[in-house]
Amino acid sequence: MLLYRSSEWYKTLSQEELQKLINQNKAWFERLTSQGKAKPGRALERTGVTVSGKNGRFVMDGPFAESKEAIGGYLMLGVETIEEAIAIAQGSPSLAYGGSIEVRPVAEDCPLDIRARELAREEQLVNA
Amino acid sequence: MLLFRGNDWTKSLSPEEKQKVTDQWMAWFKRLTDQGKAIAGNPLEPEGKIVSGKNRVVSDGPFAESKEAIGGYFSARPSPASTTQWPSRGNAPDCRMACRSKLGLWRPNVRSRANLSMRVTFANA
Repeated sequence: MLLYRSSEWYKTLSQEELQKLINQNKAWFERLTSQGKAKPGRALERTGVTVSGKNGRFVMDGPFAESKEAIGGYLMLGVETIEEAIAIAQGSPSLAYGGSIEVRPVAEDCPLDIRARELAREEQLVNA
Repeated sequence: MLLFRGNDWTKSLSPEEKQKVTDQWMAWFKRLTDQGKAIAGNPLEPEGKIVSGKNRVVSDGPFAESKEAIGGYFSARPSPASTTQWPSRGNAPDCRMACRSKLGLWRPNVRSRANLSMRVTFANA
């Protein structure tokens, strides 16, 4: 899965640069789609809230689009290896203008399950 | 879309707590799916790579310990009303209410220092 970071870099582009980038992006995405490598992807709205704390009691605005933690969009890929996913990310036209793309494998298992199994194994070893 | 931030908060939990959280999580997700409110979701592997800049430099990260790391996501389907309320920062309280009432917040029932936060944002139509 590709996560697009730093979502506001495009604001410094001129109308021509922007149009060029939009066309490049569209071509890039269409090529990946026709190769069966791109699955659904969406841009995200620039605003949102963060819910945290026990019982979800803290509901705060942010992170805001201009912050570096902000995620501007995502794209699910249909590839087998992280190397292939990285190569695709490197082909993204928007990189030339700034921003960065996080490349993350989708997990087979929930990390909670994995950790629970690890702990169970550790306990077995201690008891043995 | 919900983005789950922070992916090592489970490390401080005991096996029992962990199992309980997993069960609660699955029940929550199943309920939302049954109600047609959750579309799809996946956990992500704890670590990945970051590609950045004109030179397409590939670096490690984000690391699992970092607070801003994204641990997983799921797409939720808000009601049309909450979608129209969403976009500006100015009406965030409405959005908060929409989030609370439309999705129902996950309420972990364990005593822990769990620090899970969710980024809630809607995809552009």
